[in-house]
Amino acid sequence: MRNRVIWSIFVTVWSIAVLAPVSLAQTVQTQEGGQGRGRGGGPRRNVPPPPGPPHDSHDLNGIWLQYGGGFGGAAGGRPKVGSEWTKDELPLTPAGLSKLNGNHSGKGPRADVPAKGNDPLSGANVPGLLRTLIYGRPFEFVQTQDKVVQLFEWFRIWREIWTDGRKMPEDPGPRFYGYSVAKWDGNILDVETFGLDPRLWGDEWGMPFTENMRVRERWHRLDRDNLELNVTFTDPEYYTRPFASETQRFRLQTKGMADAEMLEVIFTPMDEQDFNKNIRDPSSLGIAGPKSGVRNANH
Amino acid sequence: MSNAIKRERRIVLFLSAGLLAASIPMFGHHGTGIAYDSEKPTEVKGTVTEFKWQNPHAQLFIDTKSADGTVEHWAVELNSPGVMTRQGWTRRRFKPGDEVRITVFPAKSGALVGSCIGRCKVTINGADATPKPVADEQF
Repeated sequence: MRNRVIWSIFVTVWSIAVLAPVSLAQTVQTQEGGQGRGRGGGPRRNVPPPPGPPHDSHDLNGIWLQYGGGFGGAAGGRPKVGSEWTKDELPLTPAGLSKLNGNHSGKGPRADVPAKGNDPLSGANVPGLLRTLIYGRPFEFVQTQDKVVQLFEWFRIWREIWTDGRKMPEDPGPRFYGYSVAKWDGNILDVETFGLDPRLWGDEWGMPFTENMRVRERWHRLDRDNLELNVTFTDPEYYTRPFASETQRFRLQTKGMADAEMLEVIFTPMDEQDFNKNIRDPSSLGIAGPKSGVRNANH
Repeated sequence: MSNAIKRERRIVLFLSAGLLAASIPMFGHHGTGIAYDSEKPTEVKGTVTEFKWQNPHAQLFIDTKSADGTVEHWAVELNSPGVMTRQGWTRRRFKPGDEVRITVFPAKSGALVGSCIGRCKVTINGADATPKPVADEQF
């Protein structure tokens, strides 16, 4: 009898101590975590990181990495008509919804196998500004007297954010990374971006936009280690009203950290075609690849 | 042994299995994740024939031999070289002829393709080669 009591207590305590944290972690991974960067389940995106020492907010220089994991295959419980940028449903017009429905991604709440999709990335096209900003690979800000240069690890591409007082040109597009002008609003770099090429997607899930979308980015360095970005999207043809992103948080990467040095990450057509032939198409379509076989459907 | 004790021990075994299943994360990076079955982690054991260290994701090719001697050809999707570099891997991680055991999520389609992205278990020539977590995950 005594042994049964001890055993029951052991089972109960073990279950709570071991399984509950795993379940929570898995829930976090499924809902908000995951591995947008191929990492282990990191902190949730909507949990502020620890503060750092004070720092000049007008100094954005440094290599920054998004804080918090990706959404994983389960899309973090986001709405079907949703985006990685916001937890709310996208306020789409009928034209915008039609465009969204025509964008078939391998990720997110409307995901299908990539071989059946039309993700522009599958053809080794560049991801463009918006998708790069939400994706979670490191970037570096380098400030000069008249501009802030943002260097992106993903595709090893950069853009200029002009701070010399110039006005936005009337028709700067189409550009995959847009045309950006900015001014300081107190401690916040207030950026206007226009002229984005609408053939690309606004996020990994196929968020649509037109060539007339205006993007307002507000970059705020809180302290030495922490940077925040809030974005407002205005695109009357596809969205019934301007809508705001959730706050995106970034951590400074310093020497010794894995992301303190940006790598060369370039998807070329020759590599993309090879990957599609060997991995994407066989896995999606159930066909033999040049170097792999297939079992029958009843395996 | 009483039925109640047997039942409780089955519960422990069940919870252990649940813990094991819960600890294997499912990650889809280049959008291919949806093609794999994360409910059926499968060990692929065989000989490396080729390792491609290239974007968007590295590719590993393995020949396996079933009990009746049939050779099967597997393709394994790994992570991007950028991520794997940060996990301590290099393009020389695998060589043709290496004997590997690698836990993958197999393709739902029946193709002999699997996904090993993240911290999937890997041994090379008997030694543990599981990718390590990236140091700055801890913040």
